Amino acid sequence: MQSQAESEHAMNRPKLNLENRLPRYLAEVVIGLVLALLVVLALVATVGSVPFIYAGF
Amino acid sequence: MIRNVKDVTALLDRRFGSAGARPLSLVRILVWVGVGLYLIGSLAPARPVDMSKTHYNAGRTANSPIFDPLLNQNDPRGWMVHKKDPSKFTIAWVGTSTMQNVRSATAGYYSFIPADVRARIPKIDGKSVHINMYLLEGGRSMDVYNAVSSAIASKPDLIMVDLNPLWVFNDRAVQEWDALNGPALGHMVEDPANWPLLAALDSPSDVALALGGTHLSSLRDRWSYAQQLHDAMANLSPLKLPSAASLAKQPPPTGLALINAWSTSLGFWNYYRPLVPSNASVGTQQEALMREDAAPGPAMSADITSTMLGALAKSKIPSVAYLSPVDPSALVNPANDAAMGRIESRLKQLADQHRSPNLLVQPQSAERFLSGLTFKDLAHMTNSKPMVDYLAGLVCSHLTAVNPATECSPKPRASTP
Repeated sequence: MQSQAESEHAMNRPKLNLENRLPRYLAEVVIGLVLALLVVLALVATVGSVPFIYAGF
Repeated sequence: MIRNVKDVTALLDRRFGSAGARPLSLVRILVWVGVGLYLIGSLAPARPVDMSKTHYNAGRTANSPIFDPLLNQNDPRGWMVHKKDPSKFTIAWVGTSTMQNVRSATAGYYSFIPADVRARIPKIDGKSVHINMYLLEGGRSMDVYNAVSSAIASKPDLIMVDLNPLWVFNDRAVQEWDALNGPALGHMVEDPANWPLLAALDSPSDVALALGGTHLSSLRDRWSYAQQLHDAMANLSPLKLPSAASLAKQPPPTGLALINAWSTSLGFWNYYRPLVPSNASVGTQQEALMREDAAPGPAMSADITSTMLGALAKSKIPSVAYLSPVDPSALVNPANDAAMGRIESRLKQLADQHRSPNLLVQPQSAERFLSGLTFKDLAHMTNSKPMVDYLAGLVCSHLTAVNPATECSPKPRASTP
């Protein structure tokens, strides 16, 4: 009985379907990492570089 | 066959499994952005800042008792405060250019007033005195408060605040060191009294980057990355910066080029809404700024100074806020004298609102009761020895008032080098 229930449970378990999902997951990783690099580059490029010129006050 | 945009979208969806098309997919992308930011900071850490080479630390030895924790004015990390050494008596001394003794064309010497006071009080309670000197060149009221918030958070044994009489209540400029907003946010947000100031002066990017930079060094260290990138690009680029001599031959800029040449917004206002003709001497401009500082009515700078005194009072750390002296010869002019009187009176009112045993506010400008001070201009001393004597005495008398068991006695001036 127990082994039958286990096999039914295994049959009902949703399939991971990793083969079809893998391209999406990989694309998400690449998009995320590229966005992170672009964020850092944008912040580095826009950080202030104004030279301080003291006017006496 | 691709005929329109829909075909392209369908192709991309087939190839990349509709990445980003569903909310959960967007969440996963955001998580990967976070992971990427973390990895960049971990795998390519920024070059650490050499604090021994920053502007006011250059030339000092590693064990010097005077340390300026401020970073470059553009650096969004603001400061780098060392952990407090319990074997030392730590003083956090915050102020603007008026904390220096400067040379004029004919007289004076260069030194820092906190360093000269430290020479008079090398030990307090048997411990060697160490001074974290936040010297904000061109600092305004909010810059001073941001640095004071860092000083309070570092839990020193004493906080000294030098209030510049040109700017303490002056709304012509309330900030010059905008990069300090981010690092101060974490200290300030805990006290609801600061929230109106934060709402008024902190931009959304200040807040977002301060929060992000708390755990992500790739965001926090962006100024160091920019320096590294700049060095690398400078070697690659065939274009070289022109020499100072060739720039000097250029005609003075006008119009938009002139506006572009100003490093701060104050330059714009002083040119287009001048208090005195813009070609007036520095001393004349300073006098006009002091008279503007004394203008009655509500002022944001007054709110900032008041909130700062409140924060010092609440900190329970022994604290002294004093008005920096001005050239007494300028007070011969009745308008200047009256202006200084109004500044002193307003500061006293604020001090009365924040009375606390740990906080001493000296609202009277020191040239009123000290003689022998000499000045390069209205606010910068060329002989500050009487002021150093006074401040050394003030440090010890206040510490003794807060805790009568404190051992603190200034050395006489003659015995100091």
